[in-house]
Amino acid sequence: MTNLLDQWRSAPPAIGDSLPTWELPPVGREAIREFVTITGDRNAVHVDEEFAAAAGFPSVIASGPMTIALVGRYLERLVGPTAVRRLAVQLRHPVFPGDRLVCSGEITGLENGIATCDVRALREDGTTACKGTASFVHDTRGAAI
Amino acid sequence: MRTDLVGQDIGPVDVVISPKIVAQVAAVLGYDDPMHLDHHAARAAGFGDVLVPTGLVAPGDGLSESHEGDESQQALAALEIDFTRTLFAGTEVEYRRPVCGGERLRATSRVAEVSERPGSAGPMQFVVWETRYADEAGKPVMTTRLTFVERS
Repeated sequence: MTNLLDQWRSAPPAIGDSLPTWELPPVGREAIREFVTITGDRNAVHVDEEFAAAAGFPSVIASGPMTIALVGRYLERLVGPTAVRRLAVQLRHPVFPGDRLVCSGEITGLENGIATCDVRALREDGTTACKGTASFVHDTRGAAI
Repeated sequence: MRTDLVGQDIGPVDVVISPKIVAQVAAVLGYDDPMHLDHHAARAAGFGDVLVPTGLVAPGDGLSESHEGDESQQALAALEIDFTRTLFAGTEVEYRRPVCGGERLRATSRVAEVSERPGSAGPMQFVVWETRYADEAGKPVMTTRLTFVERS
């Protein structure tokens, strides 16, 4: 995917523009386990099927920080690793092993070189895994930061 | 949880962001950008070490070298939040600049907000845990606000 900021230099964005959607690879059970192991999250709901079932889930679930970090990865795919200034995401539905998340967003504001946008990650059945807002530097000539 | 601690600063505690953990987490998230994976590439680009992926937060000390006995975990424990009934509900991260592995950050936390909302199985308590991170010179680096929901 071409960096969105490069595209915007020749075709400036407008409020209401959609961000390119991106379908992530399926969320792997092993990745879920590795994420919580590395980050020290000891909640068994991410690794233990029996525990997850007792908690009312059909399988283990991805940790919330992992789901949110995947939205961060979506933004980095669009604008690179250093442009995002703010990301606020609320979790709405658990993410299970094998889920394919589709990330999307729309521009909601453009001011002083900073773009703000709505972002979300939907599961295959259309349910919202998480949603929120983000802002990133899109034009360093006018950026306040 | 102990609501009498709401608004009080907890800490500060020093957190050293582990380059190894950053690179490991980035790989698990599927990153192929060497800025997150290869300290040589990150340094060649002018950063101290691998960049922390956007939006990555780990409650407590999840990105530091040791998960055991960390002061931030103890601070979180002081709130007496019952994590067996608590879910992570969301986060907000504000960056003043990119954050690199190897950085020693001074983290000052507080319970910024507690609110109760009705839920299908009874009232739920929403807790916003805010942490302000500064560098060794005291300059702000980032602020995180993690929202937890404690079910009754």
